[in-house]
Amino acid sequence: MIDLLAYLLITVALLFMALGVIGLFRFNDFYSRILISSKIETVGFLTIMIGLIVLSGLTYATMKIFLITLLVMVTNPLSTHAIARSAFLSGYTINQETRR
Amino acid sequence: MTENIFLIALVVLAIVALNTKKLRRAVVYLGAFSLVSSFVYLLYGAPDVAIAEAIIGSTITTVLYLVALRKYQVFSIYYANSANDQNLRQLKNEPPFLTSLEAFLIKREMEPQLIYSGEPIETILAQEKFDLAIHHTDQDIWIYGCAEDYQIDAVEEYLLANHSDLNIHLIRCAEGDDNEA
Amino acid sequence: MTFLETTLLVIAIYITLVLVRVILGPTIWDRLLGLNAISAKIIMSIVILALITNQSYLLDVALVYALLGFISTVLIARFIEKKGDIT
Repeated sequence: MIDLLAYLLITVALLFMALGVIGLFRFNDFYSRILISSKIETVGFLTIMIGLIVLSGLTYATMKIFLITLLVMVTNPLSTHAIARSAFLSGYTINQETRR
Repeated sequence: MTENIFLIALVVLAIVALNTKKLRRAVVYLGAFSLVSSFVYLLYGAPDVAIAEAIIGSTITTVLYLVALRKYQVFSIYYANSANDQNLRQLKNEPPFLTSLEAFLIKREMEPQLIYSGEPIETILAQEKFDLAIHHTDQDIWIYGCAEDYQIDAVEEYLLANHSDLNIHLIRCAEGDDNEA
Repeated sequence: MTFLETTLLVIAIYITLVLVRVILGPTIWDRLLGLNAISAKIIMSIVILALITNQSYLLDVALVYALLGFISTVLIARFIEKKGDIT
């Protein structure tokens, strides 16, 4: 029963990541791509890690997975912010014709 | 099946990183290469090698390549003169701003390579691979530079400070659209 | 083929699709964004592989990546932002 819950969570996470990968190819300018990609990736990572924690039960490995989740929750938005700041300060502007 | 996907991705990344034209793209490709190769080490059961690859490939190699890219050595300058093009072969004495420009580049730890060209400036801009192209007409000096080259700002500042009497115009070409990598 | 192996295969296909964006992205920041996404997906793959083979010491590699993986992205982004001045 608890395995079915974990499988459901992992499937939902795979759907989230599929949305992120589609968004990388769907949008035309860079700021839309970084918005959809970073948000969906972070939510997908959190969901798949919760699913794996539920699947593996309460062991020593579970605490390690929890620690990995906490670290990635801090560092992944940081690197995304660094990329967006670099693009903005270097003068990347949105072309008006290709904006949808 | 999963192994085959990662191995094909490794080969594709290695070929793309070798064949790219811009060096900072190659740094990004090598970062992705080291990520995938670390996972392949784990698939074949070597977690200690994977930890070493993770530390070295993601931090130290990137820092070393970026510092090396900062100190990129050879700086090729094309010089085309259309004011007196009949005696380009007997042009023994360089114009004084070129010698001072070379001294400035040597002071910044680079090695200037000066190429005199008899062809018109459009041919040079279309075909050759240059860092600076200088077009010397009767009263103006046109300098063409690549917009993403990091030394152009220093060169412009130096030339405007020291040779303001020569009416120098500096034109930045846009980034090329060579996406074939 | 169990459920976790299928998950690993699907994540491998996602990595290949993001790699297409890394190779053909128009600007340098698209490539950096793809590198960031690949890094997060590799961490997921390592955790799933550790649960498949039931060896919990493989999780240390994922821990190292979670600590150090963002440094290369931040360094390249600062290198482009400061026009080659990394301090």
